[in-house]
Amino acid sequence: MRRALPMFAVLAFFLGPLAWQALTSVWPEAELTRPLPRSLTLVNYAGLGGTFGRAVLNSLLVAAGTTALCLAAGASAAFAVAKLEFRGRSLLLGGALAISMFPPIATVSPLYLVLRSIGLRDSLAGLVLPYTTFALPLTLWLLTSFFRKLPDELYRAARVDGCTPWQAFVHVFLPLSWPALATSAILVFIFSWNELLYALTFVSTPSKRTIPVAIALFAGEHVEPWGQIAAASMVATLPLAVLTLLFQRRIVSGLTAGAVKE
Amino acid sequence: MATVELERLRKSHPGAPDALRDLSLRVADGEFVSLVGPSGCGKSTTLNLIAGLDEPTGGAVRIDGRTVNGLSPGERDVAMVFQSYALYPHKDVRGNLAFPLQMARLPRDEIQRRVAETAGLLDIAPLLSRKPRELSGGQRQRVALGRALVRKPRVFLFDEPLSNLDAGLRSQLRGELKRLHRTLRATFVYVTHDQAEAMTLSDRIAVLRAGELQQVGPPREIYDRPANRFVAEFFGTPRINVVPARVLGIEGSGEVGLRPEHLEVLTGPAPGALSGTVELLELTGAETWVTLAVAGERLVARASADFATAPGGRAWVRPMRDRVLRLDAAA
Repeated sequence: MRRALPMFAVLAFFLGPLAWQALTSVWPEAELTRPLPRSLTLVNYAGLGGTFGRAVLNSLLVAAGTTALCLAAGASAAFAVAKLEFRGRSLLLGGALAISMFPPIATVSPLYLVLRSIGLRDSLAGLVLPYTTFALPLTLWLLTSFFRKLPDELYRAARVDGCTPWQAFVHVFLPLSWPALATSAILVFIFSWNELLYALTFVSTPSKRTIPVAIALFAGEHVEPWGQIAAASMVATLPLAVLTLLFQRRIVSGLTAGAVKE
Repeated sequence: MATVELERLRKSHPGAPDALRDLSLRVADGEFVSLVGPSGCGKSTTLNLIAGLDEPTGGAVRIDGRTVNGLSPGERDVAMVFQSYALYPHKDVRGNLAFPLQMARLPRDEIQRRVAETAGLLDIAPLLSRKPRELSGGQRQRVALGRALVRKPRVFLFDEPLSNLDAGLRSQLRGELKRLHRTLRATFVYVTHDQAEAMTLSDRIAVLRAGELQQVGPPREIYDRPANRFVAEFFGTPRINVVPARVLGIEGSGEVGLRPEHLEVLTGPAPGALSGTVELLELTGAETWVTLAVAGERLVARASADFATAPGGRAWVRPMRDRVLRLDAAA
């Protein structure tokens, strides 16, 4: 019991707001000021409508696109950094780290100009691109530490068996890196799923909004639709929660990959 | 099958001593040549240069008379067996054996035929559908051997393939390697730091030290006529005795070497015998190694297993004068 108490405290701290949000989403709008609702309703979910459905779809597209790009570029780059010899390896890793240190707000206006000049402003692709540049360093570092842990002799064996470096990557190293790929994928997916600043700035057409933007713009001039906001938040959170629960063991093993010598 | 020629092969890394200095060596067709030396002597570097996993700073590698510098490992038609086995963990034994053939784009039925043939040759047919993690160390190394054999390459390279195995398995696989070499009549280049392994396996041994070739020759010659003190001390257990010439009652200055089996241990004085104090007895079963203090120097000699003079007692040793080696003191 003495150990259970702190545990419940921590759980309450983290899950409390989520539970409150869940409760609000099924709380009839008219009874929000009462300490407890007399009945529960799904009307808030029903009222989300097609515009929000569109936002969910957009978020899925952007997050999936970012994840795919990040993994494709990150995995091959990480393999090269970990197993191949070329000039500027540490420069590449250091540069990637430096880039990820930039506060996003500082890059908003230059990125806006860049995207406008290449015609990607107000498009989903215009979100995937900057998301990828921000998530790529993390992917690169995570996967590099994973590939470093795989023995060099494996690479040499593949080369002697007739593989080009690329074939060694595809046939030997990729099949071995599912845990690390899954970890990176989830982290990148969560990042782009939640991103608000760029999505709000670069996209103006309502039908191209992503979930965070859609939720942020729910509030009208005169009304604050708490119930709908809560319902939308629940819809946005659920896929992430399911995804993370499914892969949690792999995430942990992937995050600590290379942390200790085995 | 093929010859391997190394011509003035050099490998340097910026800011470090040369890994390899002007190594020239010719491996004949079907020959078993071992590269031996302590760690960091350049033996693995040499193997990597032959395989094409690394490019030399200078010099040439020729396989069958053709210069292969700049060719990728796949184009050189060599196979390699690694110390850590380096099996592909996600593929079963069949997949591991088939992989080099798939990379060479052989037809499917040819691949199946060769995998079956190799598995039969190495007695691993029952393991074909197992994953590497389900195999013992000896089985893993046998699969690694199979992965090299299955391609029928021109040259086999071995990078300390037996170092990860326990003693019993090691000597068993050593025998198998020897047999395999005889059956295949293939060119083997074998890297090891274990002098006994090199002695038992090789047709010729090349001894390396700090990137420089010390001596090349058949095991007998390396053992009986070492080129210098380093080679003399590297081969043979227990180590060769290296003492000033006067200790053995030999004229001349400088140091001489005499192997323990060339010192006859006696329990009483005899003409030509030196008297000493027994310091240590090491019974190996078949014989006893006796460490004696003679004229202020320590000598190890081979005695029969029933030699019983306790440490502290007196004993006599008679050097076999014709086996005394003059060693270049500078080396």
